[in-house]
Amino acid sequence: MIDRLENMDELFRNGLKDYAPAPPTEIWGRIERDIVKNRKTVFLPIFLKIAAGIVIIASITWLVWRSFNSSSQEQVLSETLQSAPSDTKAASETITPNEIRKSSTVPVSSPNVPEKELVTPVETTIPETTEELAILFEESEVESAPQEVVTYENIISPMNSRDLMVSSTFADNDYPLIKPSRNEIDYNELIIQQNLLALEDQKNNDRKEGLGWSVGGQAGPQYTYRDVYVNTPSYPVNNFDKYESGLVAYAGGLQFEIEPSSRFSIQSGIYYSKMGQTKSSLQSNPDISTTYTTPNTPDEPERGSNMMPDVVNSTGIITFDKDLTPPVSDDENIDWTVGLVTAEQYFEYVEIPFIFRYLIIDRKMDVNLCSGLWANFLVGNKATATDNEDFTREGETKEINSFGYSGSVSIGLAYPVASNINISLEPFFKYYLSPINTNPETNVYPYSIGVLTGISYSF
Amino acid sequence: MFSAKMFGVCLRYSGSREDAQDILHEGFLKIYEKIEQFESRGSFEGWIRRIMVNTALEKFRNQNKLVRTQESVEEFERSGDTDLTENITVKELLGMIEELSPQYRIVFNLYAIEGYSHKEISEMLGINEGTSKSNLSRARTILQEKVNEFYKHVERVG
Repeated sequence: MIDRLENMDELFRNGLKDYAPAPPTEIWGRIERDIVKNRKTVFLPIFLKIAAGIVIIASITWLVWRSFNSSSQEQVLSETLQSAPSDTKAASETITPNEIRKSSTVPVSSPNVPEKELVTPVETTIPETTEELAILFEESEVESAPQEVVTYENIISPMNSRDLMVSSTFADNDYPLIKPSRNEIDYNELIIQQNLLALEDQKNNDRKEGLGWSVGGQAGPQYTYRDVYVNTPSYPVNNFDKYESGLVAYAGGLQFEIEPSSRFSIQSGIYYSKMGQTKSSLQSNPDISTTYTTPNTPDEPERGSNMMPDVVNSTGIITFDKDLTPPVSDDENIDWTVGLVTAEQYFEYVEIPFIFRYLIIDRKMDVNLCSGLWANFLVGNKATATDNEDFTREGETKEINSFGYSGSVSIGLAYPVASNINISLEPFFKYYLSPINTNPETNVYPYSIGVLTGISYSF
Repeated sequence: MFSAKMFGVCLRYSGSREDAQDILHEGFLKIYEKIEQFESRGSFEGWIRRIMVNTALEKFRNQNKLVRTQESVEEFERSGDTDLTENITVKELLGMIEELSPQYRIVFNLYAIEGYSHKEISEMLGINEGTSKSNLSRARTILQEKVNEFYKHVERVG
């Protein structure tokens, strides 16, 4: 008996294994048309990904170039302040009181300002007569400034400011005034610029004094969902979008940051991320499908793909435990919604980032613009189907890649709460650049939007 | 050069010529997309045959044609009196295969013709080994009945 059954196998195997009938010729035209169509369809996402990569790299390059450029501009300004526009002195000539310009403008000569010392600006009003000018100098607070602080007197040395105050009769030409040159700089503006440079230098030196490192941790919620690109035209993509939706999960990890410059830093670390999606209207009882093959109403899902234990969804097949509910009766009026459950797919990743951070606002609260690439390693793949009562089945999604990579952009807000300790808030958007699944029918690219809160220590 | 053989594979797994053409069409699209993944380990024909078989399985998985049977394995081991000869043609064999229900036809193809084990079949189809065995047993029994009918008809006519 068994021999005869196995002879059946041999009979059909010998007859059909090498069976090779000619396929219909028109099929090649269909294949060629679809290859051309898919090439255009697939090209666009790849093109977008390449374009996104170029934009990110160009943005980072421009920000870095701007950072270096602004440093050189500060240097030029500093040199300008320290250089003596000597032609102002050389060009000095006697002028009459009426020719005194109505401004507080004075020439600058060899201030030789030491580093990190602030200058008290002089409060001035615009004098209209020489008497007012003299009174102005007399009342100046610079006179009471400590000797070690650069004062107005030092700036215009060797000329003594008192010499200017003394006479109200400039017309006697005893104290010739210096005619401002074309390179004159507003005194107050000069002092303000000098103060800002000193503050910047102090901050840069503070940064350089440490190792330029920081370590910390971040965690927070994220909403996750996916983009789906269909490779097989007949695949039930409408079913996917109708019954699938995103879900809220979480992410977090430990990070360290290296600061090669005052505005530019590189972050890495190790993170954990949980993401997934839900699928509703799954029929937990396959006997209902075998008895009723067509939906009773237009709202009922296509039974083929929504049937447990093997559910077809955008990522591929979700296989649940095989221990299913008992058979239903032959009642033709059975409600299709009896036995409907909702499944949640979860994918857990360990992720290693490589993130560029650029400081765009440097105040009490720093604001960083961040962009990076992530390497993602799958460590968990689980699906749960439940009706929130007594039905629960567990399973997993088939054909999921164990490795992938993604890109992210975020805005990092950091606020100091103690010496070298910052708290942070970082809204982010992350998009997978490689498909999460190996299923040949679709390419699925998850994305997530969330906010990470964290704390870090700088040293 | 492989198209005819692959069409033969598709005809074995499908229930109709139209379904076989659809499987062949989708299978060749996948081969075109995945051609760079062929690693030269094993034969190229074997590689495209596997893609074609997987395409057929996907198609019938989507149509939920793989509902498992509840029958036990022993129920369908019956005695048969007909000697199996080689007089039966390939087309007739194919016709008998096509008349099987999808779950029996696919398991019979995978086990008897492709040579997969029940364990491998259960993993490929997402069913348990008992289901694979019972489907195979049922397929063999039905095919044996069909072969018996064929030879009775030949005897009557001949």
